[in-house]
Amino acid sequence: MHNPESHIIEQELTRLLFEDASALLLLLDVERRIVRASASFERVVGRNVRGASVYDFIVDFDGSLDVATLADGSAEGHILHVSGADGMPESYRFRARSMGDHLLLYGESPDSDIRKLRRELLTANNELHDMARELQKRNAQLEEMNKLKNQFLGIAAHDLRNPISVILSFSELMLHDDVESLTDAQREMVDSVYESSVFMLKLLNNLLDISAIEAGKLTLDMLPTDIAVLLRKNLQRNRILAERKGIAIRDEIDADLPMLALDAGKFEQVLNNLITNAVKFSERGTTVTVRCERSDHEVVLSVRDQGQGIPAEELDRLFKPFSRTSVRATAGESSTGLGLAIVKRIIDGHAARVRVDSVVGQGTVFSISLPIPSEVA
Amino acid sequence: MDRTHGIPSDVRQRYLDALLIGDKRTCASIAQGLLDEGVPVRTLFLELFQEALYKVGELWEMNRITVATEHLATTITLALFQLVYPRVFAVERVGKTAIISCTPDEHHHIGARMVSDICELHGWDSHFVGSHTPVADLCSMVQEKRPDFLGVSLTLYSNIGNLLHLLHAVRAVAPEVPILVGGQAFRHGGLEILDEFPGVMLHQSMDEFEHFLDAQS
Repeated sequence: MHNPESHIIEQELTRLLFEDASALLLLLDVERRIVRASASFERVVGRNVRGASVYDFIVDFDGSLDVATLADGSAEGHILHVSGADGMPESYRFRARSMGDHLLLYGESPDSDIRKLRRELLTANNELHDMARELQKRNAQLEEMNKLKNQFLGIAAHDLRNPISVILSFSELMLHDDVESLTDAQREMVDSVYESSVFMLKLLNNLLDISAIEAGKLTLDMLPTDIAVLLRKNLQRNRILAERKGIAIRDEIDADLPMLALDAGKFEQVLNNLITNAVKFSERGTTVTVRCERSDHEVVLSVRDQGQGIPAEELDRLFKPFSRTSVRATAGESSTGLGLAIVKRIIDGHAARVRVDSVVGQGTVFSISLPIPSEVA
Repeated sequence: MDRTHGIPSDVRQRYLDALLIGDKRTCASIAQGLLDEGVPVRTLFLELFQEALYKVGELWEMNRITVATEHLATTITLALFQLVYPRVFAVERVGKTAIISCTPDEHHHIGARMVSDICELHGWDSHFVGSHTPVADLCSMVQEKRPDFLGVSLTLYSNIGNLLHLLHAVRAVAPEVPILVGGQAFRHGGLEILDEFPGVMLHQSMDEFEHFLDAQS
């Protein structure tokens, strides 16, 4: 006798399978129309499908699909592509089972959370690319503004240089050409005018240099150069300045240095900046050592001082224009904040490297590694 | 601008092969190599990126590749756009503005990005808002920026409802702003649906679109 309770249980099980479970279930009649579909299948395709042909929902790419042939008992099942509510096909693994004239297709639905995550990932990826594009656009605008800034700096520095040169040369004339009419107080004032204009001219020259370099106008006249000769000539001048401050400059220059392709004028600017910096930050009675030595593939030039040293966290910004460190010049010398930025750019232009090593309380070493051309090495 | 067919077919094939196996590095090196040789960005867009993606789409339609491969190809292409941006955004401005958007919920947005970048190449300032900007926000942006046109892309015709909703909404707040519609959805027709909207134009090719840009500039 039929047990009414088991009938209720079966009904409930069927309802659960078709309405609550995530399984994709399709019961097809002999003409392959959908007699019953699970709610999860209708969610995927986005509409009520009862009575429609199964071919309306299965994407049959080459027109050869015969649903009846799927009921072959294959354990792995068959991949079918279901046209989703948004028009995108989704792939599912289906198995089929004949039930008299009817055919039951049952597919594995990817977990809805995974589907949702996949969509969200796609969306996030697109948004990420949109943001990257916007960032690139802003970068291009900033670069353009930076170019304009450099142009402006160049023009301003150029136009200011002439009047400052006039102030400089006349104040120098007043100080050195025995102009008797100046009182001591006036002489002090003119001296101050002179010192200030020397600094301004140096600042303007540095500004002109950095704006030209940043605008990509650094032109180097690379010629074979005897770096030892260049170095000795430069040290001669810098020694005089250093001695005024009671600082010795020692040189250790290898005897067999090769000829290197350098822009001698620009390289001298690098040397001046490094050596005057070393002197500027050294105490009376200390020594600045300039060493130039050859290794297999490069010539390494270093300038070592016994000054205060630079804190490690400040080293990164050392070569950036207008960056300042906590280290102060020992005799109140002024600084434009551009010298090392210019050094870095000129050295980059020589395809060479500049590095800095510093220990607070012991001193700082700036090293320049110049590659030796292979035909020379 | 050079509009000749500039990229040799063997290079295009090599790029497509790399794209299909997800070899981003080879794709990037081919694209970078072409840029270094002086191939214009526009040529790269149309003959390399667009052509390869159309082929990927065809292969997918023929069930030769999976959706995952198609998505991977799209993602690689999006990443390659980064290579060309320094050139795209360096073009001198002509003082014209466009807003480019995908139809809401349209996940295919690479075509719209390309359109947006073509605008930049013609010196236009283009604001690309992607596919996830709510229609109300897009309307506010159109009102605020008053662009010289709004471009909307539609890839799947099944998403036409969202496009019509967008057009109605924008027309209501900015009746004078021209709207250009384009995209793969219209390659088999279906244009008449746009007739009811005044000032809405359909552009079916990049050439047609670029002529429009040049004529406005």
